[in-house]
Amino acid sequence: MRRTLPLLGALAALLGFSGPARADDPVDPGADNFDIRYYINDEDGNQIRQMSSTQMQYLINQARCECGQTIEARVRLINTGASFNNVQIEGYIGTNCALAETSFNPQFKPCTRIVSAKTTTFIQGYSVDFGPIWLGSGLEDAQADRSPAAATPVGSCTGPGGESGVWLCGFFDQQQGCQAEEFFVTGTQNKNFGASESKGITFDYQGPITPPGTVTAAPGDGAVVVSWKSTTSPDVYGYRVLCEEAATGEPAVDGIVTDPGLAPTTSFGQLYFTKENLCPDGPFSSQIGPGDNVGTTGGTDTDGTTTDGTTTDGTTDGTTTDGTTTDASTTDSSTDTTDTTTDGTTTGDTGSTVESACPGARPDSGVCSLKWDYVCSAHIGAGTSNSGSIRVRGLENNKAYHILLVGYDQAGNPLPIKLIENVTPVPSNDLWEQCEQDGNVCGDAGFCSVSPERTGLGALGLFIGLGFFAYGRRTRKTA
Amino acid sequence: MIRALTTLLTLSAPASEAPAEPTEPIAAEPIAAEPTATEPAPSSEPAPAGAPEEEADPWAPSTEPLPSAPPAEEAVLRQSDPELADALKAPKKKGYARYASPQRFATEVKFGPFIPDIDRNYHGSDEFGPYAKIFGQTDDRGITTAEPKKGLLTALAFEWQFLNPGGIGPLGLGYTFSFFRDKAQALLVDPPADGSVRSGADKTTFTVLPMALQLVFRFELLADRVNIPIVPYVKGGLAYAFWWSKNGDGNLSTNSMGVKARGGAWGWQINAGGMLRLDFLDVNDSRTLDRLTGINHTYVFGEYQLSRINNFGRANSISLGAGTWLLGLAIEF
Repeated sequence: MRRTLPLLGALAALLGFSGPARADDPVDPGADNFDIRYYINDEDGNQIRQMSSTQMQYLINQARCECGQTIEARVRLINTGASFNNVQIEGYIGTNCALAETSFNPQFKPCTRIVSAKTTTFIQGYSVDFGPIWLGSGLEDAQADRSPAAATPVGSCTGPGGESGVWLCGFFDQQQGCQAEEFFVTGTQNKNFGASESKGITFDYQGPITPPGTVTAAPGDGAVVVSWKSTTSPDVYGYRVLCEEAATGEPAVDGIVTDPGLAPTTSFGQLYFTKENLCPDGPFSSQIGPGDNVGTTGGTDTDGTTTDGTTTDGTTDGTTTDGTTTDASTTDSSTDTTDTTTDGTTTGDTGSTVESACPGARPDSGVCSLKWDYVCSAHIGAGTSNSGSIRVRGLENNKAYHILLVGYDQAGNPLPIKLIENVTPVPSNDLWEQCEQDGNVCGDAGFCSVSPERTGLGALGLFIGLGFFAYGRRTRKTA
Repeated sequence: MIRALTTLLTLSAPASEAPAEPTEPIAAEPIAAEPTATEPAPSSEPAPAGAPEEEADPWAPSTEPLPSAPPAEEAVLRQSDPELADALKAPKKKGYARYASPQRFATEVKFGPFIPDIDRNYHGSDEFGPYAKIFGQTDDRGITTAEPKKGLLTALAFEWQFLNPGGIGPLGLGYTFSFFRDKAQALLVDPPADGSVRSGADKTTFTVLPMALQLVFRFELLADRVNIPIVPYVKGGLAYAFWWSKNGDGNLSTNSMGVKARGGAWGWQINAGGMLRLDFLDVNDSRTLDRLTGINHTYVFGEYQLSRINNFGRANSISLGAGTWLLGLAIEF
């Protein structure tokens, strides 16, 4: 017994110091402890719906950014019964927020801060609205108010896109400020995607950069056929044709586009968006880039710097990032509007048509305004083909029209490709009309028009009847 | 062709379809006769005294007549069929009996140049009728300079051979379905003084589906009896053709009265031609093909087709018939 007691004491002491932590010991919160969701808001900032995985990828384009259509982020600590250290947690929106927050390089601009609160705050959930500008832009002044509604972004709603979202860090070392290793949510965690996917919100503020090289417009009978061809695969997801009456500037065809609303759920890449179409009365919020509400997009080249250090070159004036120009007059200066048929004849010489490009700044009206009223064709997908054509119907013969081909990416960022002015549909005769003109040579239409005027049918009937008569006699003989 | 078909079918035929050898039961002959007491077993060693009687050599040939094998069951059944028994008694013919499956049907696929004779009804002052103006050969400006080039007519035919009078050849009832389409750029209503007279955007098409229900006679006597592989034939009967024309929008054309360009016309059609029976290329393979598939004969053929599909001359009727040559393949089965 004397020997046993000291052993038990030593064992108890050992267990007391190195035993497993109890379940109610508080721990630092981690990524798995947070539920993050994004919702798209309407023009008044009211929630429309939780963003679907497709919306997460294709909804946020340049127009929504310029309109300041806000997104609501909801961050909530999941109640699993565990207890957490009540540390200070800060939340940000942007790309590379950890690097921007800790780097001394001025090229990296800090992200907007959506929350700074203790862990307990997140048990009830925390929500904040932010404009799409913050997905790709940092703060102009990190010392000022960093909240999305109050801060000033340094970038604009232009330039190439990326992937962004909520970043969370905790002051786990009890020191002020987040260190890079203290970011435990890095923009890609949310419940909008399936459990197997780890993606943030994809934003794309730039239209196609490689349009087709050749565009032609051939006049038809009450129609115009617009064709395009490229030697390389154009960076275009779909096309639309816009038409206006050359004399009045009025839209040529009505009712082609139905407003898909502020939160379309399907058919991404089948229509382009501009701020003039999405928010014609002005931005929904003040969370837009400097200059995004000045004039029109095309005339505003606001270079900014994103949070990952890349420039946001505003290439809306037709100049692509590879240095080539989308100006129709330079990419296709030798192309006329004639077309060649399979039998080698040259057709459709429109003569007076003029090819040009839309001005850099979008006007208030006309096809170059890209307003949906001027859309005169259905969506045609680019697919994998380098060429295509679409027939615009419903035009008047002998009236001149201006035709604009617009390409767009899957997010709906447009690129006016080529403007062809003064295309005049002209009437033509197909076979049926030519037959009528030449004296009804093709006769009457219809499916049953046998006349008793001639006796050919009788002779034929006699022939067939004789055959059956012979067969009948043969059958009787056999029997 | 026959060899290829036969090879393919032979390879794919199940084993049960292969010709089976006659399976006469083998009589169970005794392996050896019972040893007899008169034939002592050969032995180099003398039998020891007092040893029991020696056993006969079981391997020694028997001198007794062997029992005959019982008749096979098939043989017994055969004997119970008097007709078969008589047939077996009859002297056998030299060579193999020729098997031929019943011949009831024929089918054809054929192709040929074609152009509907729509301008037959044109009596205007212009050099060309409306069909030639639209679909004719043109110069650089699209102005018609010659009649249209013929397009391709594709036809499928099926025939029920319901009678073979005197074995001279089958008489059948046949149905033919054909397809033809033509297309060209539409003509401008007000063509420019110089430049193309064709629309750059509007393509017009004309489609016709001629069909015919005909009596068919194929003279197969020479091929069957005299081994001359030529089968002349004639067809004649009623024809009907659906037609329609589309404009540049891809819709049915309409004239100034709003009437759509679609309809059908009745007429007659005759065909006459000759078929080359391909069985002579490999007689054995052709018979195997018949045995395995029921295809009696295969042919290549050429024919002349003449049709008048104009509602039997009715006024204000389209004319869709034409005379043309067709080439094709046919089988009888």
